[in-house]
Amino acid sequence: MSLNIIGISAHFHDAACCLLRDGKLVAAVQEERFSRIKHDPTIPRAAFGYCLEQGGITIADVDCVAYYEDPVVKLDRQLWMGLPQLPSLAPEALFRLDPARAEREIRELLGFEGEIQLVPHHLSHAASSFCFSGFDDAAILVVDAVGEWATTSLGRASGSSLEILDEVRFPDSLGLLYSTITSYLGFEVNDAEYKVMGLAPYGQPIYLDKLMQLVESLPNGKFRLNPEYFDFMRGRRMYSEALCDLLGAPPRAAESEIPQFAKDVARSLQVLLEKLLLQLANHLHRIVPSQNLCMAGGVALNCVANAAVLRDGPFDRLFVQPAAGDAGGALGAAAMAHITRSGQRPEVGRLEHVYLGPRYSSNEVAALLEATPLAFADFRGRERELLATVADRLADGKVIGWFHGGMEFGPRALGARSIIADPRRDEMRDRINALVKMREAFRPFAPAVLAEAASAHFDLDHPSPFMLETCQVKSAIRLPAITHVDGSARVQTVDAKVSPRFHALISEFGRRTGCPILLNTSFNLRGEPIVCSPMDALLCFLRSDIDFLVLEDFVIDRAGVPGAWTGWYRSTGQSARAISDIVYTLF
Amino acid sequence: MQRPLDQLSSLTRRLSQLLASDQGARVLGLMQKLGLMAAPPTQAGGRSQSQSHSPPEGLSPFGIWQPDTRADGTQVYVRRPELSAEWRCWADLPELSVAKTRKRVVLIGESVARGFLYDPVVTPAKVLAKMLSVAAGPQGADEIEVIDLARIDITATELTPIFAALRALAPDVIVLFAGNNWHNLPRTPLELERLVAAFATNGYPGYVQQIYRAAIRDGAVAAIDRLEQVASAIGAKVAVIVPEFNLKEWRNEAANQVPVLPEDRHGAWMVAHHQAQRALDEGDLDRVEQLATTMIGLDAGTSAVSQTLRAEVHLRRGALDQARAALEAARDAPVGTVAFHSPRCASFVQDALRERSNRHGFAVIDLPRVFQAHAPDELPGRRFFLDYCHLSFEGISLAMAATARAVSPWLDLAPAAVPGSVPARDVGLTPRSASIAEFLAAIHNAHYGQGPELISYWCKKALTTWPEVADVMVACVDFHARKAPHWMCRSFETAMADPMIARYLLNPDPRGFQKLAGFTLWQSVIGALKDHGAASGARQLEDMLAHEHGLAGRVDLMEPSSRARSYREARSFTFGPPRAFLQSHATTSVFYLVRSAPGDTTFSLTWRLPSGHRADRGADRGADRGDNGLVVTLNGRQVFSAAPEDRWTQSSFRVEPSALRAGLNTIEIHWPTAGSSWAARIAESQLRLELGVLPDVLPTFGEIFSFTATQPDTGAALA
Repeated sequence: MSLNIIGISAHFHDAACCLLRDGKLVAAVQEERFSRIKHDPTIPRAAFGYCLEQGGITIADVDCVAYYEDPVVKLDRQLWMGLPQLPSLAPEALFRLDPARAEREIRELLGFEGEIQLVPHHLSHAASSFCFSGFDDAAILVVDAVGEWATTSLGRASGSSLEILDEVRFPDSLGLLYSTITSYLGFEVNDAEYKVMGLAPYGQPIYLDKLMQLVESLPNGKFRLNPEYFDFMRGRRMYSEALCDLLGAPPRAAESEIPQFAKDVARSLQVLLEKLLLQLANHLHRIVPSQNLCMAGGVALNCVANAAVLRDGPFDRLFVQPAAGDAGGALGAAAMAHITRSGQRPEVGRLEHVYLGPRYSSNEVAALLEATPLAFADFRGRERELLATVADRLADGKVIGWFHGGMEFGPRALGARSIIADPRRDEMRDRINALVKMREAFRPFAPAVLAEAASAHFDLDHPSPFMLETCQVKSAIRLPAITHVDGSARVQTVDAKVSPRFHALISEFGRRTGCPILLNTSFNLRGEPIVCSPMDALLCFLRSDIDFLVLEDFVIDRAGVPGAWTGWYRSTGQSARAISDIVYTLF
Repeated sequence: MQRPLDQLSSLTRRLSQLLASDQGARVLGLMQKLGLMAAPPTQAGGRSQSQSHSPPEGLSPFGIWQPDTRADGTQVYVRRPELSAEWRCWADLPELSVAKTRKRVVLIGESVARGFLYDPVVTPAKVLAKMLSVAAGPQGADEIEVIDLARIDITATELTPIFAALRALAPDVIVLFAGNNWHNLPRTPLELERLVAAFATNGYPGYVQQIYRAAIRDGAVAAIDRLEQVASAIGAKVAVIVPEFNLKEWRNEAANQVPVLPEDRHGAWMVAHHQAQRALDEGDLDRVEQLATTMIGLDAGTSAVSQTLRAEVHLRRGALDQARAALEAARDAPVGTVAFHSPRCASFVQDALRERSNRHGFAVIDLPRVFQAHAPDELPGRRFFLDYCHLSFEGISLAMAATARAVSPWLDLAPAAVPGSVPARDVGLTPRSASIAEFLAAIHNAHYGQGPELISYWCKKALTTWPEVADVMVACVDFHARKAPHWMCRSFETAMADPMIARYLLNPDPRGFQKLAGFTLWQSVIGALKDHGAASGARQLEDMLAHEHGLAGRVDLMEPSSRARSYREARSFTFGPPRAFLQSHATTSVFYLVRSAPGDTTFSLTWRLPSGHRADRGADRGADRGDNGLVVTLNGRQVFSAAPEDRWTQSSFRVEPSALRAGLNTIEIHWPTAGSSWAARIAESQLRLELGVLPDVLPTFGEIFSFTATQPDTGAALA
């Protein structure tokens, strides 16, 4: 009999579900990919169904559902933060003070009859990193906005043992600090923090001293936010007027031009974050003198800060679980439930890939395409020709929507649901932004490089399969589309054993151009989740100006798209968000 | 930001531990509602806000319309580009002129007032304009305009901004034609609390329904009163059209039979229903009447089924007035039960429209009376209606003729000059467009779970009206029946070239198309095509169905395309949050499997009976075939049975090829009729309402997590 454990994160943002069978990660996916509602926090109904189907089991075969936080402790924090009202009457708080909701919905809406294990939020994060790191032991640093009470946790792990040693509690939160400035700079909270990270290299840290007034450093790496500058507890906006006064400028309006001031504030914030994380890492190493560091939580998605922690901190090795945000909490909760039941640590080895979502066979794609008036080329059984065709188009400067294999779990597209292009072209960044992403011009795209060629082009001496590290570009080839203003890049190394087709494609491109690197960005329109199904991919293709779409073994040219489709659905992409982008929904 | 004292966290910790339960969430929810409801009305939200709404002066945006100024300085309303997905809900007009150069009539309303299924070719506004034009004679024909502000699905609350816009448009006459969607109420904390209190007392039958109905009626009254305020302010006259319903033919779907009743009443109701059906089959009308009366006593008027049985008795006895009364009660029965039903204007909304209109001195065009006067010997049915409430062309003509007569004196026209009808061609209705509307009626009836006779009727009528519609029918069935998304099929593009079809079927959200098990519609079309000499089209569809659905392999029977005959079966009949599994609100769950070359097939089913089910409820015995547990039939023949089990149970069973037909096979799961526990369901419903979530009000007879049919693919060719 197998031990089947379902991990679930939900009811905050980025609901997700995973299946751990006998300690092996079989499936993991965010609910937003099915519902097409960005950051969908609802109990992951469709993701649950997918995980069972992928595992070839039914609900009767599930031994335990592990939930990624303790709602009672969370309620404690929710009650406290609503004070002096008890309970809070803020609109976003109405009916959200419900510690029984997780268990009730797992019973009522998912139909699960067995045991439910609640795993504290930061322990879920910790396990999601350590249990899939491949390290025998590690120090653990979890940093996010907030879980129940903890906003930062320091821990240690060895074998099947994980423990949290110390924590910083709400409302003192590096995640909320970063989100507050993100909001002040006119970007969406809980989503666009990475834009601020991308903006930072364009600025100078001239506001560092001022931003340091927002946070007081305490002994042992801890910190305390100065409440004068924040307003997130009232649920209306993140920052106070005092912050505007401190920085001497009003908040930037969303979608408006980005002034140098914003770039300088972003840089100052990034420097401040790195400084605070390094303090934490140094203290952590003093109490857990391991060579290995595992990081998780939303702040661990800040790959620039991660690189600084590894570069300037006391640890030799760093592992960041690719779905480091709340979605990844599902993995950690399942891992903890596995340890509880088996006494064993799951996934002894390092997580090799995150292609854990739905996949579609070429025959399924064929059945879809053959019913349509769409013109397409069928390369079934002719992979070499397919790759040659795609590589030719890439070398010609075309932008390709690339759909192959199981969908990635987590926020990064890693060659399964990607938009790819030639990184050598000066115009490519602006072109892709105009064609599909409709995003801010300052943001760089990321490179996907053959693992064996990575060190020749990037200052990188180890694999980076999840695009979670930045390093300096040192390539002899000019790579303007993927090189940031400070000469850095957020690299994905592509291993032939893990992603054979994507690896072969980059190789083909390299043979033609001498450049074993592709620009790789997520396959979605702005404000929408990454595409999941072939139809999602077709719709994204239709609504954008991507030149070609590759759906498994099929290549579709934009010229082959029926004119009526464009007439019906061009520019109809809708940004459906399930959570506020003005203020962090702390209820 | 005020940082609460850290010391207080020890108190919140203890409090959170004490509140760590459903009861705790309920306490917190109640305290929040109390806080909100004790606050000034503007913070409580809901009806009180809309009731006190005061329309602003000048041009105000409403719906898809926003004010704009042309280059010549004239003011117009134009459509908001960002709301283009909603444009098809309104009149197909690029702009509305604000400047008034003629006498102006404004028509406000819902889909019935849009001329649903004829729109945009023919609309009630166009028909009304034509009738007024005829009445005005050649000299005055251009002196009156009718502005069409009808929007499909409009609720009573949503009328407010349209009323506000009337100040700028300054009509001489306002015609309101709405009421079928007014049961959709805003759910404020106050509303939810009233429902919670109702549950605590009597549950669904009676009190909840009365509470909900009172709220619906209040909303109707408020809407008419708001209209009066605006009309008085601008000096406009008002005519209100009271909607009628397809009493004769429209039936609720099988799943929406009766809300959850206490166990003793539920069991007795199920038995009485079973016996009444049998008595009806045997023609024992006295027995049917007696049993229907028993059922109504048990369900307290919340079930259309029991009222319809009573109506059937009256109809068979030729007692038309009594049948009408029973069918009106059937129409009203589900309103206020918080379960999905098709739009309708219940008696108490009709009464509110009449009463308030009379009080304000409005003209009332009472469609029930208009239709009755025109056809005194029949109940309103397919002659006047395309479906539940949308009017046929004859229905539109009658309604607009009565309206034109009512408003004509205000426009200085003689009522006698208004024609009783206008030739179809004079308002743009060709045989082609009439035929397409009739075929769309077939589709719409199918998507709302109506029976094969009605669907077949509209298919045949469409072919009779304009035989060339056969090509349209083939195209529409093609994209509905293929597995590829509608919009991706070649046939979809062909069909969407017609503006009426595009308006009805071109969903602005390409992910919004739903694949259904539309076999009743598809077979009706094929049958009608064969009957009308369009055999090649029929053959084309049969081949397509075999190719798309008949291949061997694994079929997920949980997919809507294998089980859902209607939109509601695909989604849900209740308004609660969606579940990861299927709940059957009927005693039989039906699935469809198409096989071109039947072979050994293995069915795999994960199922359970609802929590709290008790198999030994004596009252349920003998009511249906599933009473001793789960029974599965294939084409009417039992192929599997299992003892009652209220935990997830994995069952597999194999059937021989001989049990399957080449073509369409029907698999039915018969559940015990005991259904879900009353106490458990009421407790769940109360808790949900207290936590701001609508409850599931229909009884659940069985639950299915997964159901597949697998026929190994041996490479056999299609038949």
